[in-house]
Amino acid sequence: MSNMGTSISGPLRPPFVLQRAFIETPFERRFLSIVRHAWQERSWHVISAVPGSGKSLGIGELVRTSGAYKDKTGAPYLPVLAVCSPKNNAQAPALGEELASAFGVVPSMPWKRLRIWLVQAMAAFQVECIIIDDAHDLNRFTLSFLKELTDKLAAFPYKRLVGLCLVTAHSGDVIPLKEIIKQPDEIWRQFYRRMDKLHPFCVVDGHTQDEIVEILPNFEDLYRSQLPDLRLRRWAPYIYEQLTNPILDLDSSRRVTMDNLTKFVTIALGHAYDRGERDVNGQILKETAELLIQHRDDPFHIDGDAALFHIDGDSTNEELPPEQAVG
Amino acid sequence: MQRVTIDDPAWLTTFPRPVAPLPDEWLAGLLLRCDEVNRWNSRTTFYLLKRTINLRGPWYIHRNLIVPHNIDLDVLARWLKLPTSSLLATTYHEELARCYETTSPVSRLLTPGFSTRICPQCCDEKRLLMRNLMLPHIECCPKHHVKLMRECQCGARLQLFSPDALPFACNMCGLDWRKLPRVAPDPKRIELEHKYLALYEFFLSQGTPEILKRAWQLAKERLSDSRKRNGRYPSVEPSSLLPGPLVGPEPISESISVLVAGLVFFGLTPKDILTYDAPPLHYTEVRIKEHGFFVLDVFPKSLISQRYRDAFDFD
Repeated sequence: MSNMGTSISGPLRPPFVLQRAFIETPFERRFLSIVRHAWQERSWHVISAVPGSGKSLGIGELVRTSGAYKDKTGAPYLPVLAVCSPKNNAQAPALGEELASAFGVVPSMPWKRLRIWLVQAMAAFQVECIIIDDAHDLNRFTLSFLKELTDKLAAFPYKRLVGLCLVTAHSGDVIPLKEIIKQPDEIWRQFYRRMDKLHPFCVVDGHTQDEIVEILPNFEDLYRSQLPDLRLRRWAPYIYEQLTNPILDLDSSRRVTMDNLTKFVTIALGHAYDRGERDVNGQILKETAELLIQHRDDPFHIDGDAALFHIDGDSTNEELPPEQAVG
Repeated sequence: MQRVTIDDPAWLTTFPRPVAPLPDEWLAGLLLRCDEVNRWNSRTTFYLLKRTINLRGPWYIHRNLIVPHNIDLDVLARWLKLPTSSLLATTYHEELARCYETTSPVSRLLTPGFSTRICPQCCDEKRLLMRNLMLPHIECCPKHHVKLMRECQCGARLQLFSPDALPFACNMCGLDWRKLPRVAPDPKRIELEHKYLALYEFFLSQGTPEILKRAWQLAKERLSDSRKRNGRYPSVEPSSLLPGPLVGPEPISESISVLVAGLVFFGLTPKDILTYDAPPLHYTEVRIKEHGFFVLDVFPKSLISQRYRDAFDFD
């Protein structure tokens, strides 16, 4: 498949540069639509997707475009308060500190004062929706604190209803947190009652083959400057087939995660670029698939030239130390 | 920059609700306003700032509020997303640096100490503590012409920062300072303080080592003249002394507030200083007894330690 006539030769070609940009994929549209619904309707949901789908990226993009600001003269505005759940079976104060840190520099204060401050701050910042990423790390203590927080906001004098999105990663058919929330205790019955009437537990699926076709042109645009003849979409069926291999598609969902797609594409593009190509070809894609699917967990023996792991901007690799330079 | 948006990296390095200094605002008031808008207790910002430095030995609050030599205003500037220069303007750092031609002035060059005095009306209108409230001899608000309050109605002495109080409130009874009574001062007191303020304003806006030297010479010359005429130093009326003790360490004779007290005592004005034809005399050649008169008599005796008084051998 390689066409030597289209290759770019020359030893001075700069290293391949990974592009970092948010792509509004079909998954992101699905995911953000339910989150925006929660924000708008002040509804509560557990939203789940397989790891690597792009949940955190989507949350970040939503927060970035939410219009939040701090004003030195007027009222501040933080409509979407998004934090990552504390880990290691953390207690409520750890979640409280995570929530407080989303407002900026907040001095440490006793927990009894912080839990009051959080309610005041969330009311002052006009918080409309709370998003907890990695919510599968929440436990009954942190969940009940979220309930307490939202209850206080809903009560006098604030009277603020807020949406709540507990964004979890799942595998198989088990939706995290459902077991806790569906317990018969009074607190969980109250919690469940506050959840959305129609869709309290949502699972956002990954990408179909047609959606891969839709996404690939975004990569073409991003890497056009490095691979001028890049035409990825013609390889969509092949890429889809490789990425739904049971080794990568653990749940046999026949859906592709954005993380796998990005890895596959950028590795292939990097290889093509290193070989001086102007586009990817079947051979490169095949090698990439083998690397990702068959040989990913093979031990990689590191020996010889340390420059294999050269990092851009590492000046030690580009110029001599001063004493050697002058000598 | 009045607004910090969430896509700005400064979002995470600024306070939830940053504040900006008001005209003529004092650093202490700015810190209290920061506490108040963020719904923190009264010394939260101040102690957060204090924790950023690794200081051994004693740490005097008031010294740092006049000249920030032991607090990092760059850190505060980052938390408030302000240029450090705008925070320096809430202190007397630049003014004292100019007056004494030094890059690291100390607060004692302005005043040996201060006590907390607030204007209830300024607190009511803008939550404002003006920078000149710390100056000795200023007992009335120059803007509202009400007496500055040192004590709450409950009898407790007002404290700028107290861990268990809300900002701008009494640490004992919780009364908001804006609710303190407005007491009209004696018109003569207002007139007298006008003279003090005019001299402070003169030195702090135009002062140089040369001007300070001339002013000291002028005051001492008047003192010598008075002694020659009467055969003794003039007596200082208790009413012209600084009412109430100041909180702080011992004064030093170079303090601008001591000089201002001496100049007002002799009825001297900025114009007198500017038109004074000073004889050549080095600042170091001051006559110690005359200097002591200003430090020990015109400035309140309550401040002076016996050891310090003995050093002047003043009769």
